[in-house]
Amino acid sequence: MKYLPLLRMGVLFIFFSLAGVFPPGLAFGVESGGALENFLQKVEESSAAIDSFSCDFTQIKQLAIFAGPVEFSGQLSLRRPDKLRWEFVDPLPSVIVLNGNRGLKCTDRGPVTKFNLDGDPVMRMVASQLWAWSSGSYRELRDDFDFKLLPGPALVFSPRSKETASYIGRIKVVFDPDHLQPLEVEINEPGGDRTLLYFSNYRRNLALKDVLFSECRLR
Amino acid sequence: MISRSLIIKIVVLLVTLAGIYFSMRIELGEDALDMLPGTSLQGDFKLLQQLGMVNRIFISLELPSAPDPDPVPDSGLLASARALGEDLSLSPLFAEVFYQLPEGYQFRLAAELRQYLPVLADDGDLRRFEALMAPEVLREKLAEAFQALNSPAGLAMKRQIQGDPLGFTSVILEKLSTLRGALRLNIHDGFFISNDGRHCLIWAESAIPLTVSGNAVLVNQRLEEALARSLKERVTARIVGPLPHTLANAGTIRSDLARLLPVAIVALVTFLLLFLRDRRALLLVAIPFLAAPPAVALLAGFYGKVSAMALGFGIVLLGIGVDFAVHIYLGARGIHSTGKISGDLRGSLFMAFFTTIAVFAVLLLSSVAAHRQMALLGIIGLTWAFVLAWLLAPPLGAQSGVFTPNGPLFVKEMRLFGQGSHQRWLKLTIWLLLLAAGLSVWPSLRYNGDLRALDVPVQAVSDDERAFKGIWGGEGEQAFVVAVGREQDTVLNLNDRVYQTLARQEKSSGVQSLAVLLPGPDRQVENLARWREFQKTGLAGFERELRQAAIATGFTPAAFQPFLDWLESEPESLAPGDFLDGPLRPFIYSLFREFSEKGAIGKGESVETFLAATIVPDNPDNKAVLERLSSEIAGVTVLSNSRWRRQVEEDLKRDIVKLSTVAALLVIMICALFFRSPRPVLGVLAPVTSALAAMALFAAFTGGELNIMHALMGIMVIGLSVDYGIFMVRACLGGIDHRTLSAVSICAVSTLSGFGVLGFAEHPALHALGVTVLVGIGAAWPTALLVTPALLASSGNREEKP
Repeated sequence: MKYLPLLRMGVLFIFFSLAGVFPPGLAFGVESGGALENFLQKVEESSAAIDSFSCDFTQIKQLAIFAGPVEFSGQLSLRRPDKLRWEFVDPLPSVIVLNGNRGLKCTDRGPVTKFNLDGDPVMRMVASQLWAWSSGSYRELRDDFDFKLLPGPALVFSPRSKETASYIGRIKVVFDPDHLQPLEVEINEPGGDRTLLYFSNYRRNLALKDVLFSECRLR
Repeated sequence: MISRSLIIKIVVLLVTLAGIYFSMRIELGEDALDMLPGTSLQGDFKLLQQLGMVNRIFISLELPSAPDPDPVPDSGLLASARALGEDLSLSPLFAEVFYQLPEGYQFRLAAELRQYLPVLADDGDLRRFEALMAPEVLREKLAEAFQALNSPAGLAMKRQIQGDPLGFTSVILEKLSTLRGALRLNIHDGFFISNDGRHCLIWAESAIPLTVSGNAVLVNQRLEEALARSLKERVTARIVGPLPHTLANAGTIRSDLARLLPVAIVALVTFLLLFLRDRRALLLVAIPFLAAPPAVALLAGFYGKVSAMALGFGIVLLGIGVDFAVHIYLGARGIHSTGKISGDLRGSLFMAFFTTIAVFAVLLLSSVAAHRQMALLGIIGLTWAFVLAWLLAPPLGAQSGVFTPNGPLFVKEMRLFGQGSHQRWLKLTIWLLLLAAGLSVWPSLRYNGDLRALDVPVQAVSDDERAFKGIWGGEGEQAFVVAVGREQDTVLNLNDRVYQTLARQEKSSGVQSLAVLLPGPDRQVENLARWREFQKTGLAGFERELRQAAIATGFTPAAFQPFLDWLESEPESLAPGDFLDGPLRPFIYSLFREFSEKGAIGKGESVETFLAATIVPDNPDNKAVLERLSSEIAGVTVLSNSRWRRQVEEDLKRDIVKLSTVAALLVIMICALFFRSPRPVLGVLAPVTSALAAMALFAAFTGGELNIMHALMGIMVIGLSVDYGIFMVRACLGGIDHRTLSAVSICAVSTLSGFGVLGFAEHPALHALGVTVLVGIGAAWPTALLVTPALLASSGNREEKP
């Protein structure tokens, strides 16, 4: 299925934007199988320590078809175990809400659309991988990607199949060395297109309002 | 020296054993075609079979209603649908199972539609494309594309947006709603979901004919197992289609027969024992049943495969043969206790035999295949039954001493039945009133050609069908307009003409056609010519507009070069195969079939045949256009329940009139030949006329409808009633005899007790059979005893015998 890699890429895209649920102080080693496993293991073990968080993000798209880099900014909110809100605020507002196996999406142009993770392959994959990851399991992603641990610390994901490689060149995640939260995500496509995500201003263990995860209202 | 009697017994034994042996190897058929009158109707039904409609099973999965229904389908519902679909797909009993469109079907479909868009787009579509290309709309569309590309889903949409930023493909996608027809379904992650989100539809095609009850049981068993394994908590299933009907009919018939047959047998045996008062006599009158095995074996030899329905009813019809033995037994008793059949009785028996055979021979002219098989079985069986009764009953009776002169008689009071003037006019008046009443209601009787009239009305099946229609639509009946031919192009062109004709209708909603996805080659040529014209004139200046709009909305001027390249490329034509294996296969497969069948010429050669169907609501609004399609487009057949009903009604009416007329003429001829006087002939026919009048009156009082079963059993009642008349007339002419009265009465009551029990059957066909016999014989019997002698009263007959 040639579109699968794209869907999986979408998974990674959101996954990395949410991966900052790790406690600080984790050590990680050099680029070796043992170090990588150790790093992943620690991330998995510590992922349950944070109940909720919110952060700001900036997305920069560098596509050949765009006249120039396009910058979008917004906020990400997450409450374990299954609530997430991805919201673009500027320049074009739009929201995606995940709540259990259901979700909402909307823009400032049209009505709110409901979806079910069982009924939407893209969002299903996003959510299942996301929650699998946040609960400490990387197995599914490792079936499709080779992992590489770099100093920084950073993780680089390279697609294993040629088919996937025709859509995704490489994904690089740079972590905050103190908190092991992603600071940057860089998705490179074979044709040279690139998507960059910068996360900042993490606020952990917040009392996030229910309405964030039940309504698609634009701010 | 071997005696003649022993030789006869040995021959009978051998014939019976051979009959049992060969009848055990009989191949039974349960083809519904056998029960349909007329070849045109059978052809229609065959088309439906070829289209897979007869073997289709719809499964509607359902969650209980919630106070605040969420239109998003429940995960348990979808998981159940997936599990069930996967489970059934593994079974060889199901040829096709459609439960979910393949993952990524949207992308694949969009790509396929874009590839063939030039041949799919008609004049109206091109006008919509031009509207989308207007500068202000163009900019709005590109702004939407810009936002979509910056959303989390943007990475997956980039190529699609570059190739079709204005959504030309969506214009064609909208038209694909005609593939759904009147079905109200939404596609959710490839699943077929109802508007309220509580139901999920699966449809499958059985690999074995579901009109055969054995197959239906097998398929149902596999289905039940799969449902038990697949359905999640709270999810239930409704099964709709021919399957529940076949099961309900087979189950009801089985239950009816299990319940009523013992009653009928016990009633018959008790009655015979009560009036014959001799077990040996009971065995004697049962001799004609020995005719059944060889008759069945010969029938199988003649037809190869025998309709189960014909066999079942045919064997019941052989019960008439018992009447011969009853007459021989009662005729030989006392006076001929040595086992001789008197001359008078011989004449009566021969006449009764010839008239009965004549009536069955008339049934050979029926347009219903199963009727013809029943008739042949009846002719063979009754002939052999007659021979057996003739050869075996007298010597065996004499040998066992059952022809005692002092046995009980069913009718002892002779005064009422005599030929004297005793209440003669009263009897004749009542009879004439009955005939007048029958004649008066006859014109009001309707021939109900709806085959569903013989379908068992099971509440659960009706409830499921009603609920199914409420959920998925298609409340009314549907007509199938089928284009058939050896050439695929011809069939697609015909199908296209059908769709265009329907599309011109004012009320054309609910039409299900693949013409929008697969136009005929002629239309493809037209569309291509129009597209080329659009390329020449419609695209002038568009490239500049697009580049300017791209710049204005944040794209590079060359961002949509793939779209421009596609617009200017050479378009391709398409064939069914291009889409048949694609994501829309569930819909296309329902409407387009290619299959091989043996050619008429040459052994083993097969001929390709193509079928393309359009489904149209069969309502009064479409009646005229359906008639027009049928008459104006050669190669197109309209399969419609209302049309079938009319056709069956015409065939049935023709059959009833033709068969009754021929039967009446034959019976009159035989009687005239024997009696050479009109009054005895009238006496013979009196019970027949009473039976017909009573059956007409009963039908009028119970809804006024006649169906195939009435016609069939009506013929049988005529055959029996004639015999009563013959025996009574012969008895009257020879001086009325209480033994004849008793014999006729025993025959009538045994028939009533045997068949009449079926009047209590739940199955409409068995019920119709039972009540027809009950009413017909119920009227013919007293007429034979009371009216026939009265009609002959003044003809100077001999005195009554003591």
